[in-house]
Amino acid sequence: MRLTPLNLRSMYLVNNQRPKNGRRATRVPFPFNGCLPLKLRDSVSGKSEKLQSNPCVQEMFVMFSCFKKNDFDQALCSKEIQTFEACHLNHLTNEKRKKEQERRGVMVPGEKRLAHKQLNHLLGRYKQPV
Amino acid sequence: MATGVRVLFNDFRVPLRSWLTVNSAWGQVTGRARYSQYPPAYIKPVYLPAKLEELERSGDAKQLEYTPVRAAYNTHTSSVFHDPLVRKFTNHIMKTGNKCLARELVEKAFQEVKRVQLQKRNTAETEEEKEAIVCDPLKIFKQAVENGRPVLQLVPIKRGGVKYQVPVPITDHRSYFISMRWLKEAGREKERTIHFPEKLARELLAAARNEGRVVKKKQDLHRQCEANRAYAHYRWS
Repeated sequence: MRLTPLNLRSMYLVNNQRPKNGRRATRVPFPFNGCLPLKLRDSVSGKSEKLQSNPCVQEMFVMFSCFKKNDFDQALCSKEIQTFEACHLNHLTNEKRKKEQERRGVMVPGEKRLAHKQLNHLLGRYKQPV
Repeated sequence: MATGVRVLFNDFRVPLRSWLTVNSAWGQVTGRARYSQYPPAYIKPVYLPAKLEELERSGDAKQLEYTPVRAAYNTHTSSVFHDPLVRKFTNHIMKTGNKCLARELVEKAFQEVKRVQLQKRNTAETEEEKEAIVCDPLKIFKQAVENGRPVLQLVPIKRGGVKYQVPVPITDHRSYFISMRWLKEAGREKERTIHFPEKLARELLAAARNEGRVVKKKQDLHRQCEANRAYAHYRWS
């Protein structure tokens, strides 16, 4: 017979038998009783979301190559610097917009990746039954 | 827009970037308040006469008539001599709240700049040379700050017990701050006989010409960023 926690528990309760162990004193067998509720949470944690990626790496590299060519003379690389700054500004405005959307719970239908706040909005609408 | 001053010195080519746009961002009327003693509805006071006129012209003044206003700073004046960048710089130089001394030092530095430039102008021979020499210390200060602004910064990121210096884009505000900090530090360099205002004046003139300690520091930073460009590629999580 397979020695499962449930079987061991029933053997103990019915026959007053504890599992045999020559090395140590046996404990009273008990099955998993579920101290925590056996249901999923209605929220997602946002800890793994903070992917600190370096934005505008391509523009940065283009700027660096221009710098190297002109011995770090900023006046001759003004176009590359401007594109780099524009990319960074664009990134910042996008981040701000996304954050505001997350805060309000606005979601674009058909979006592949949702932030944890948006997911929590959705999960809150369809909660786990008690 | 910023079309007024373009070429100041003979060897200088970079035009005044984004200062006016940054200025408008700093002079916001409304905005989300963070850690303020005022409730969010309280707006910042508009003290620049030009901005007031603009508000009246566009009709926004009527909307703001009955909104509560925060108390104005003593340093935010509608005087002709008021300049926000100079104000920021003075505050940065100030130590332990001695605004009197900080303002004196900055004003003396500007006086010194003007003296030097006037001397150059009076000793210049041709009319063209005289025209080319800028005597306005405010213009020189702004140019110096612009020339000292770095384009990107190094951020220490710890991975596997090692701290890597990663090149990362920089915001406008921070770049202005770093430039002003370098100017202040250059003015505090070790020379016991020469006092801060004179040293600062020297550094301002040098930086406006794209020479000197501040510009060298900026270029060194750029060089180090370029040397560390390999670290920028990784996806830091």
